[in-house]
Amino acid sequence: MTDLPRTTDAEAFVREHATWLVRLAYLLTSSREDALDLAQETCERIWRSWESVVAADDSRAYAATIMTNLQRSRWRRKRPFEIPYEDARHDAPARTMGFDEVDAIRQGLDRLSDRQRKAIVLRYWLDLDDVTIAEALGCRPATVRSLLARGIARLRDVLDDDSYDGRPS
Amino acid sequence: MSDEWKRRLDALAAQAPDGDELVDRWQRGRRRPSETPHRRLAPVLAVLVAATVVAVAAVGLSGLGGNPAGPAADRVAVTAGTAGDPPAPTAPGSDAPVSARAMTVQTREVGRGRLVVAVPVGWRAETPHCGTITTDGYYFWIGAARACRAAPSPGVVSVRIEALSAIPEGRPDPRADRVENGVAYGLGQRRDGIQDVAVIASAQEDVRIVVQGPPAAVRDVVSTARILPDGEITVPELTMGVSGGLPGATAEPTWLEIEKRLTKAGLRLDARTRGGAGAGDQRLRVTPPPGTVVEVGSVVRVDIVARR
Repeated sequence: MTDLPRTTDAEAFVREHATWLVRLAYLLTSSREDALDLAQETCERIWRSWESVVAADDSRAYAATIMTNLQRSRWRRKRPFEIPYEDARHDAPARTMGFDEVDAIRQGLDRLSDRQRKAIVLRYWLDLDDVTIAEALGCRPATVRSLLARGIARLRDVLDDDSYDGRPS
Repeated sequence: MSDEWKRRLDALAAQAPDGDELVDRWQRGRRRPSETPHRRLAPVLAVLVAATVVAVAAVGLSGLGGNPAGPAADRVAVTAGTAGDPPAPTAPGSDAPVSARAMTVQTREVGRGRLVVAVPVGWRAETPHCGTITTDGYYFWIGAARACRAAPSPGVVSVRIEALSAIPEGRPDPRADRVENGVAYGLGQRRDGIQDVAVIASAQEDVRIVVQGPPAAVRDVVSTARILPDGEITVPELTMGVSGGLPGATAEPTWLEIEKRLTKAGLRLDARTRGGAGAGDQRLRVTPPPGTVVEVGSVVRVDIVARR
């Protein structure tokens, strides 16, 4: 039996969402190399679980769950400290924030717990609801709300920011 | 409010690698599992190919009266399958050879003083454990290490950057009998025979760069060595000092020492404390990172941040 339909569909999914996958991985790792590794592993897992991906209500949320689960095991491995790239190497044409501001976000995320970081990325970058995030993190929705509140509070401390009122949206 | 967080996360996410890079990696890994380069070797192979292209370009420029010792290309376009690849396979269900796809390799220069070599953009400034790094990368070294020094893995490629004046005399360096872009270097082999070693030393720049790894990778990194023109300099190492630490470990230098190093390089200091730092375990974050090429007179920012 040929594997062609799976190959074609999974390839199309990866091609269409490649940038999104790498960006999600980068937000979870703060490392370009680790992000590529994590995204690549996720693609492999997506390909192997393609039937489940297409059967999911939201295939991107399903892919995000795969990635956060993979990240859970990767996070435990000892990771060498990575010095971020300097400003000149991050000149994105559409960027509206300065390097300092972006770097502060990176540092803030780095100082969160693994679960707080994932909860914040899944909520505020992917706009997932509490239930979906809870499934991805393997916890209850109430725990997600707690992770978000504490994570954002900690981020605010790091960023010295008053733009957040403490309530998860 | 959540839009504000979204905007901030978007800005950070925009610094991620291109999606095309992921697609290329994934397809190579899935279509040719037995031929996929090991993660540690992949960037080295990229440098190998890139260096070949740079060398060819340099020869071409030379023939046209250009400067063959000019800056290494920041972005080098190469076609997969041109660097000794086996015959191009075809993807399942497709007659198109994989080698028909083009990929792009980026390098950047790192070094000390005005002596630099090009390394893949993805290489990190590693922190060596027991004097040995376990993944491809570059690192600064001041000779202090715990007594658990281990042999490197054969496939790992490393670039060690150190001050020549800090190295004891009488070291068994290979004789500097080769020249690349006007830079002399010596090529040898580790005593255990598992890796080649190239040593580039310049008393004028007070720098010694040691490249270790598989022979081809070492030669290709060394082939990119050059002396920066006047007006350009690398950011000095600022996070390690040789006094005040535990035996066998490094210590953070004082602000005075940091400023002195920067002034000597013709750079200016912007010192900051952030993130609740001030008590407890801290570390220094240097931007641009040590080893990066900048213009003389640039400002180097040093943050004191709390260690995670």
